[in-house]
Amino acid sequence: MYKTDISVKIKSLEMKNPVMPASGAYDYFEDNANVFPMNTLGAIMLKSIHRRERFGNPPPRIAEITAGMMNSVGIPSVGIDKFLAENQPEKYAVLDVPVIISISGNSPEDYVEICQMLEGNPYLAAIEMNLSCPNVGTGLQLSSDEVLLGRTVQACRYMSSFPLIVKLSPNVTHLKKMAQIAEECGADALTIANTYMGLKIDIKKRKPWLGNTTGGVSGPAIKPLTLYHVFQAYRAVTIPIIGCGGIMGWEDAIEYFMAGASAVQVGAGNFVNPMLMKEVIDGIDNYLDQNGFHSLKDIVGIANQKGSSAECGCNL
Amino acid sequence: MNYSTVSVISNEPVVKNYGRIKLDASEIAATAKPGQFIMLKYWKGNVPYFMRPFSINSADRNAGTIEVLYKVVGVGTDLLRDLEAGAEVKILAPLGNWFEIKKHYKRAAVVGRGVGAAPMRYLAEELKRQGIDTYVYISASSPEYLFDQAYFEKAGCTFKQLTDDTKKVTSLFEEDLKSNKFDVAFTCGSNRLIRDLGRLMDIHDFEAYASMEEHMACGIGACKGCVITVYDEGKSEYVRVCREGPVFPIKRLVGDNV
Repeated sequence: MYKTDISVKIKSLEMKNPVMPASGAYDYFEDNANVFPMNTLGAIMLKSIHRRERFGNPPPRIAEITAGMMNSVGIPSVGIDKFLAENQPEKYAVLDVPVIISISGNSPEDYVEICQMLEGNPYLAAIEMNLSCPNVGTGLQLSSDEVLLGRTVQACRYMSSFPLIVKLSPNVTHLKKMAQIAEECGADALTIANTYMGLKIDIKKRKPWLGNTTGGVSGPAIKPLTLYHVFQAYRAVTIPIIGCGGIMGWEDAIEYFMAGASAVQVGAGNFVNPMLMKEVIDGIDNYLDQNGFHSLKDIVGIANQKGSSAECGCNL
Repeated sequence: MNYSTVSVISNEPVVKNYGRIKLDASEIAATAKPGQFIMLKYWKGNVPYFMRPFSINSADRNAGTIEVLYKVVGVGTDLLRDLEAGAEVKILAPLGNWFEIKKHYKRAAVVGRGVGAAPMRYLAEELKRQGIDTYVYISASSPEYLFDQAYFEKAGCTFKQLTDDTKKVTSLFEEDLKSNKFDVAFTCGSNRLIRDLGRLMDIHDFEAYASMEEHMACGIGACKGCVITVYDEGKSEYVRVCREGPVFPIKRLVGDNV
């Protein structure tokens, strides 16, 4: 199928390739463009399912910025009870691809309850804990607080036997520290990172552009920022990192791997090019083949060798 | 739904800041229904970032072409104006729902204003093709902005226009309602028109549908960005213009939107 080994394993989660959608960017049953088969992907990532029903934020929910976008969608969700009552996980079984459920809540208890409800579900392969949405609740991001982050991950670890992927917020002073806490508390992998808090003002209306005032910035504009976070975290943790931020082509994915990511997520790029994830998968395989690598693992962290560039005063 | 690269056949200015572009897109012309929309990307790189949504002004199945009528309003349409014949364009289409033409319709009203009436030409042509008595009511700030008058008349529609901004185009329709039974009215692009049709539909008992607009990122429902509020029996909910719309019954729209 591929010319090289681009498979990725995170505990019991086995993916044939390292590319999946970022949560909320490409939900299969609702809306994908059907421009390529979904089993092309390494995994399917569901839009975050909240503990309770949420309608999402008022419009406008999206804004274009230079080389990217902002969103304040705010996780519209039927809530986990209805999600399970409608047997929604089962509907993905026909796709023959590992399904990762992204979960969201307003408190550590919300996450634990969801983990409890999902335990043993045969249609799911892993859980991504979205501890970093900037658009819900009071704006408090659980992954921005060391104590809350640790407590939430630890409690979910105790409750769940699924591989736990913790999605971190970049809106912190030291993401590296948060990555370490997540690992210590039982995370099996990290998604780095969610969107960056931002603001756009409509100067004609003299008020914030987005209905929820602020929003999360994503797209190619933020790629160097998140790549830096991945680079830092790779030196601080031993668990796999899933790079997520501004991927618009396979070259961007290769950068993430070289910085230390083992897999990647594509978010805003799907909105601009519905074929993007397939192009990224093919591009990764071709790059490895043409450069004499047999396995994706051969390039993970290749541009991030400890000791090689750390003595630069850049706080790595 | 089709995601492909198509070429520009022609791109002509209509009047100042308005243009009409014709694309060689036979698969889309063969399947697109009136009211559906397309997403276009016609520049290299990431600035601007989003593809741009446009309504379908006409689709010619025999020629395999579609046309878009546009106004230059920002960076995206500014770049569109510069496209020359032969240029390649990425297109994702056809998208969204459409103006459903029901079998029992005998007489229909098509109401629009200026460039906002762009999708109404394709609708009116299709209504006539299906043998429906079609009245078209278009307003504009001046006669040169009555873009598709010739097409409406060629299709055999009864065309009525208004270029006096002190009056309402819906008053022309209201006048005709006194002596004619209409089964349905369609509009798009103007909250004022939606409001007026909402009032008239209650009095004169006809179905009414409007095509809505909202800022879009993906056009296929993935980003959940382009929501508006709709109402059902007193309950409100957010729906995506690109996916559940862009066409909605006007009875679901009367509220905050308009």
